[in-house]
Parts: sequence; structure tokens; C-alpha cells
Amino acid sequence: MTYSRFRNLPVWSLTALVILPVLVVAGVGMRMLLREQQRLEQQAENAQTRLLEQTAERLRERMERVRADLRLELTRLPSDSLDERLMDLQRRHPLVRNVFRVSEEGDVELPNPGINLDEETREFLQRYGMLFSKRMQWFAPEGEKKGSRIKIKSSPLRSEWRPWQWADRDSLLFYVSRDNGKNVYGVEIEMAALYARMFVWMREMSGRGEELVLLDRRNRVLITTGDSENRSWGVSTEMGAYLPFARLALVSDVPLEEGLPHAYLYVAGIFGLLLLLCIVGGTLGLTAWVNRSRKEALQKTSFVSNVSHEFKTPLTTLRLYSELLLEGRVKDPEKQKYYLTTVRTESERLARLVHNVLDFSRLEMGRSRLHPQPYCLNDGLKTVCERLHERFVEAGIEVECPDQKIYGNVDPDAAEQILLNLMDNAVKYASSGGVLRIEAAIHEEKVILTFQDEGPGIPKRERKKIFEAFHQVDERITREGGGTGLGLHISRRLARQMKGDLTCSTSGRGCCFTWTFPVSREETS
Amino acid sequence: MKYVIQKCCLGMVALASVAMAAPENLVRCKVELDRGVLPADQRQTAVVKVSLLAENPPRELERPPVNLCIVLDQSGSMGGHKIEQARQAALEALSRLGDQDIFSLVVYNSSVETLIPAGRMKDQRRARAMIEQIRSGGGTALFGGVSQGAAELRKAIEDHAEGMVHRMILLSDGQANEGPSSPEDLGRLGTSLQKEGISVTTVGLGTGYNEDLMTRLAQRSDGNTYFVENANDLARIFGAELGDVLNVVARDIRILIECPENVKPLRSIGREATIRGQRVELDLNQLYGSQERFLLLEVEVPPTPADTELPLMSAVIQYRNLFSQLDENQTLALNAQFSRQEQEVKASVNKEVKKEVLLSENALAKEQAIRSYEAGRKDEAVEILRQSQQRLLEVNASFDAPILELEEEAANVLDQSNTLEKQGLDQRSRKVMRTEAEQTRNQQQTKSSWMRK
Repeated sequence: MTYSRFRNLPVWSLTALVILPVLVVAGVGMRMLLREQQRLEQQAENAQTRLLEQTAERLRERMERVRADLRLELTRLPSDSLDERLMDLQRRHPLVRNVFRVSEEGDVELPNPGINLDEETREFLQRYGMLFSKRMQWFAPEGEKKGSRIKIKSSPLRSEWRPWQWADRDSLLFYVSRDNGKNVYGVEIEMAALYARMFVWMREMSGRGEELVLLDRRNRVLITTGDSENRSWGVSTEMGAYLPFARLALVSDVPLEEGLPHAYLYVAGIFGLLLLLCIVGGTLGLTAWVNRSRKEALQKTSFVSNVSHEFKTPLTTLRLYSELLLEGRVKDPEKQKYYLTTVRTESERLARLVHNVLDFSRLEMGRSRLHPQPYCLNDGLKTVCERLHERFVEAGIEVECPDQKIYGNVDPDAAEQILLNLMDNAVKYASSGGVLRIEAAIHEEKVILTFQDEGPGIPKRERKKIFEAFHQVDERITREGGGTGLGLHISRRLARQMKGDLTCSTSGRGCCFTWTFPVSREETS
Repeated sequence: MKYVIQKCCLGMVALASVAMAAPENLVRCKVELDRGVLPADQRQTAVVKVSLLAENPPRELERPPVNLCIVLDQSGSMGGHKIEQARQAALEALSRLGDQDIFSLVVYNSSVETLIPAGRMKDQRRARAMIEQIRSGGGTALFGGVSQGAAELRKAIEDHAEGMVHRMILLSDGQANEGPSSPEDLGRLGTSLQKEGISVTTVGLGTGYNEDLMTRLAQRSDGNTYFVENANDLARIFGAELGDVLNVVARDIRILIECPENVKPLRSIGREATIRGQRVELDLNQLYGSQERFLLLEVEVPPTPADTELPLMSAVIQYRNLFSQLDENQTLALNAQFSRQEQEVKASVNKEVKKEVLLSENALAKEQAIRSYEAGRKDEAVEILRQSQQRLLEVNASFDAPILELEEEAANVLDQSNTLEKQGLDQRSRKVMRTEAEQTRNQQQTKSSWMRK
């Protein structure tokens, strides 16, 4: 049988089947989660980069202002006393360290290298020796400027902001020419004073817990607004044309919006947990469903074998007795009567079986239509007792019926079926004899009919299951009694359809079935 | 232009204005030669002293307002007694200011904070409460502190530049370790600040600070420098410094010297003047009352026959008189006399000029000795000091009446050379030597505390 394979399928293998895809999904989910976190971190870093870029832009604007001021200072110097005015500029301008002027031929005339000079001026001439000795161009040729495709009407006025490196220190020169690259004059920027101003600007621009650091090409700190012990700079950006040798870096004490990815992780964790619960719940439900289906399948299997067996027993008897009678070997009229009675009983039993099976299939298909009406239960009891009389005698059971009249609002056929099933059960399972006590009581418009036998009773754990379809306390085919395992199931369903119930309890000795149904005050039949 | 000045002043050996207690006559200028008569017919060097001497301003005149910024080190090493004394010193300085003055206070450790932004101190109680709250801890962002202090001073400079005395007092007890921190960097910053009229007075506390950096910053910005060994002296030093600052007579001083073609300016002794060919320039930020400031210029004099006069130089001294609030200038010229008589030459020695030259040379010798010692040439360092001491004694002995100051200095240098020979150069002696040298070079009035003992 196909169902027997189910029996061998352990729960864990089914769980494994579910868990495997769950693990795959969890893996993929985790991966996505990590990627999302990375994305968020990237986003935070991007935000810092943007902030830094804005700061750098503001610094560049300030530098541009410095450059523009110097340019104005230089370009408005009168040509006739240029050297005097340049010297004056050096004397009074805090951002000017040295001044110089180069003749049309390219010879440096201020400071004049041929005369007696102080040490600082001599060093200045040495520092920019490559330029002053004509070994380097003052201005890049026009065409070589990057991206300048558009021809601007060329002006003889040119200026250059030039970075310089000497003895591993960076400096800046700014110079102009009013003569299209000739007669150059300009200034050397006082770097310490420039850095001092930049420090103040950077301090204004840095937020709380932020540290702005200006680094040179070799990552040495030029200026820092905070504790430069932290050597791992966060994001950084080039300072551009004004300080081409410097990078601006941002170090933040506040970790990159730490709260966000964490909260995100927590939420994701909670959702993950919920998902896991759903999956576990689903797995358990599925397992329970599979188990139930398996049980039902098994029950149906045993039902088929039971029913075949049940049908076979009366049929054997019927065939045997009818053959004996047909052959005419039985002459004794008493015996003949006994045989015929047996044939009738067995055929009734067969009919009952068929009836039960039909009832069940009708109930299962939802076709049963009940018509509750005032009905005297005493009649039903009487009929059933008469039908089962011989079997009661055989089993040695004495039946005590209630004396008072009981009227219920029930379907007579269904009521009779319930009574028959209950009493048939008593015959089957309490066959050791005793009294079957049937009592009636009325409580809150309900009739409570109890059937108390003196049989072996039903174990507690079985009590609920006996109402399930195809269930039998003793599932062995070779058991005594026989039956389809449908009687109680059908009875309970019928009782419930008639706004009542059928329950089982064990009080003292034996088993007690309680059938409740609505009472009817009309004494009609 | 140079010849115009020369011709105007030809024949004047020295020109000095007469001191009077009027605002316009507070500053006297003078040019002198180290000898009244030079030996004839030989190529030689001579020293010219160009000096400014300020009278004590009369009490009835209102002193110029002061724009003061105190920059305090509150790094971890300043803990305990030191920070307590620094607070007292800041309070002492604050108490000397009046309603017209502007005060600001910057503190620095790893970072920089403006504790009291620049403003007039009409009500000092709040500022005092702020100063009382200063605590120590962290690194030493000295460059940042000075930059921020300068920014505070600049606020007042931008608003009302004229007629104010701008001064920063920087206190540090440790090595600068955040941002630019070499003596060269801070020296350059000092040069730049001087152009804005800001002088930085540096106060080094204890023996842990960098005296090269502190003296260079003070020197280049024309401020005073102090080595304070004991924190208890801080308040006194701040008080003395305020005495100077509140006593400024003139500012934006410029000495312009022009030499004729045959006289070659060689060097400025002790000071860093700009020399361009025949021209020498020196800028000073301020002149205090009863202070003399001068430039010692060594020039090469061509062989000249006896009994002739040789024009050596002409000088223009420009400054702003803070009491008259006028830009004043004085023009001076100097001619040299020559003689073959050795006696005459010897008798004409100007002792005052000679003394200053000797002390300045001595200061340079001390710095040279420190450099030699640090280059690993200890014997050379000792020898430099000994030679300087010998020279002090020799020259002093040649005077008819020896000068006490030179004798004292000779004894001092002898002590230092002996200590150097026996014990090497420890932190304290190095600071003493360096600061002494700087104070001499800068003609500082108030000397460091150990000088008084």
C-alpha cells in the first residue's frame, strides 16, 4: 500500500526537507541584509564625503578671495616705482613672505642677486633657483591649458598661482605679468600665516566631534583642528588648484550614523525571527496534517478490511444456514426456527452495517437532511430494545429503561440510529453482562439521556478518539465484537446536527454515554 | 631719494631732539658710531648704533587702548599648581585693563577654544568666572592657539586699527605637538603677525617647553620672551608684561638706513634686519616708555685719508606716536672722522655703543655655543663661551672706567662655560642661555625671574 510508505517517513526527514530551503532563504536574506548594511554605510560615508566636499569648497572660496586680493594688489602697482611698492608690500602684507621682479629678458632684478643681501632673501633666491635661472617657464604655453577649447580673446595680463617644493616643504608663488608672460613680478606666500588663517576657517567649519585635517602629499599633518593622534583619516578630498599638494580629511568621533544600521539590523532580526516562527509553525502544522492524513489513510485501510470482515461473517452464517435449510436435512422445527431466526438476525446485522456505511458516506458528502420533530424517545428505546432483545439475552445484559415519557425535538430515524448504535456498543463492549441503565433528566430545555453500562470502560486517552471516524479501541481485525468504527462517529454528528451532543465519561464501573437533545413539550407522536 | 636725504643732513654728526614732556617730543632718535674717530687709510669695519629712546609718558595723558589676547596652555602637563598659577596670572593681567581696552582669552590643549571672545571688559566678573573654570588635560596645539589668538586680535584690528596696542601673551609649558610645531614655522608666523602690528610675548613655564620655538616666535613678532621656572612667578611676570604693554609710546616703527656707494652694510648685530645692497631696513612693533631700542649695524668703511669726513649713512626713523596719534619721522645722518693718531682713535671710543655691541655679540656667542653643543662639539661650545667671556673682559679692561654690567656678564658667561664643561647642557641652563640671549638681542626691559635673584 502507498500509505505504508508514509508510516516509514520520519518527521525529521520532512523537517529537513523544509529546513533546507529555509536555510537557503536565510542565507540569501543574510546576504541581502549585509549588502543593505554596506549600502547604508556607503550612504553615510557619501554623506560625509559630501559634507567634506562642501567644506573644501568653502575653503577654496576663501583661498580664491586671498588670491583675488593679491591679484588686485599686484596688478594695481604702478610701473614706475614697482620695486619700491613691491618691497612695501612685503613689509606690510602678512601673507607675503618675499617679493620678486624679473626683467623682460628673464633676469631676476628684485631682489638683485648681485648685491649684499640678508640671509632670508638669499635663501629665497636659492629656493626658486630653477625659476630665477630661466630653467623653467613662468607660464605654461597657452595651448596646453587643459580643457580650454574656447578661444578667449587673449589679454596681455596673466597671472599664475604656482605650487613649489623645496627641501621637502611646500610653498606657493603668486605672480603676474602685464606684458603677456614677460616682466614677471609677484610674491612668495607666507605659508605659516596662510595655515594660521586656514586653521581658524577650518575650526569655524568643523562641527562638534569632527576634526578637519589638512594633509600634505606624504600624509603629514599640516594643520589639524583636533587631536591628530588618530592616524586613520576618514574620508578625504583634494584641495585642488589653490593647494594642489594638500588633501582635506574629516575625522569624526561620531561613528558614521551608527544608530541607523543597528536599528535596521534589529528590525531585520525581529522580522527574521517572525519568519522563523512562521516556518517552524508551518512545519509543525504541515507535519500534523501529514500525520493526520496518514492516520486517516491507515484508518480507511483498516476500515475496508474491517468492513469486509464484518460483511463476511454474517454472509458466511447466512450461506451456511440457508444451505442447511435448503437441503432439508434439518427436520426439527425448533432447529429450523432457530436457523431462520439466525438468518434474520444476521441479515439485520448486515443491513445495519450497510446502513451505517451509507449514513457515513451521506454525512461525509453533506447530503443528510434531518427533520427534527417532537418525538417520544420511549418508543425508539422500545423498538431498539426489541430489535436487540436476543442479543441482550445472549450477552446477559439487563436493560433498565426510564419510566417517564421523554419527548425530544429530534429526527425520529436519526434518534433511533443513535439509540441503536449506543445500545449495540453496549452489547459489543460490555458483553460480560450487568445492567445497562438508561436514565433521563431535563435541564435547561435539554433532555439528558445517559447510558451507563457495567463493562470494562474506556481508557481516558481513548475517550476522545472513539468519536473519530474508523477509530476502534481495539484495531485488531481478529478482535471480538466487530464493527466498522463508524457508529459513534455517526451518532455524534447526528446528535450535533440536532442541536445536541454526545459525550462519553467513565464513572465508577463501566462506561457512560450522555446524549443531550432539545426537549419538546408537545406530546404528539 | 637717498642722496637728497644725505645732502640735507650733511655735516651733522649726530642729531638728537631735546626731550620734553609734551606728546610730540616723547621719542628721541640718535645715531652713533662705536668710535668718534676712525683710523685713517685702512679698510675697516665699524658699528653704527641707530637708537630710539622713549620718555615716560606724562601721567596726565591718557594711555593708548590695549587689545590683549591671552593664550593659555591647558594641556595635561599644566595640571595642579601650574594651572592654578596661570589662572591667577590671567586674572592679574585682566585686572590691569580699563574700560577702553579689549580683552580675549584662548585656551588650547589638543583642540583650541575661545573662552572669552574679543570685547571690551566693562564688567569683568563674567570673564573672571570663566578664567576660574579653566582646567587642564590633553595635548598641546600651540600653533592653533596662536592662530586663534591672532584671529581674536584681528577682530579689533579690523574695527579700529589706529592707535591701539595689539598684544598676545602666550603661555606654554610643553612641546607643541599638534599642527606646525617647528621653531621655523612659528618664527614665520611671528614675522607675519608683526606685519599686522601684533606682538607675541611668550612665557615658557618650567623646563619642558621648547625655548627655540618660544624665543623665535617672540623675536620675529617683536614681543618679549620669559622663562619662568617657578609657577609662583607667573602673576608677577604677567603684571610686568602688562606694565610694558600699557606703557607703549610709539608703534609701527621703521628704521630705514641708506649708505653711500663706498660704504657697505655688512650685517645687523643681534637683529634680523633686511639688507638690500646699500639699504637696510628694520621694523619694530612698539617702543615702551623709558625704553631704548636700537639697531647695531656693522659697515665696511673704505680707506680714507686723515682729517676728512666721510658720510657713512643717513637714517629715516618713522613711527606712530600713540599719544599725539600722529605719524612722526626723524631724519639723521652720520659722518665719520679719520685720524692717524692711535691715541686719538682710542680716546674716542663710545663706551655705550661698545657695550651694546659686546653684549649682542655675547648673546650670539651663547646661541652659537648651544648649536655647537647640540651638534656634538662640546669642547667647541665651551671654547666659544670662553672666548666671548675673554673678549668682554679685555674690552672692559681697555676702558678707563670699567663697566659693571660687562663684568657681571663676563662672570655669568664664565659660570655657564664651567657648568657646560662639567655637567653638559641641561634643560634649565639651555633655557636660561637661550632666553638671556634673546632678551639681550631684543633689548627687553623686564628680564626673566632668575635674573632678579
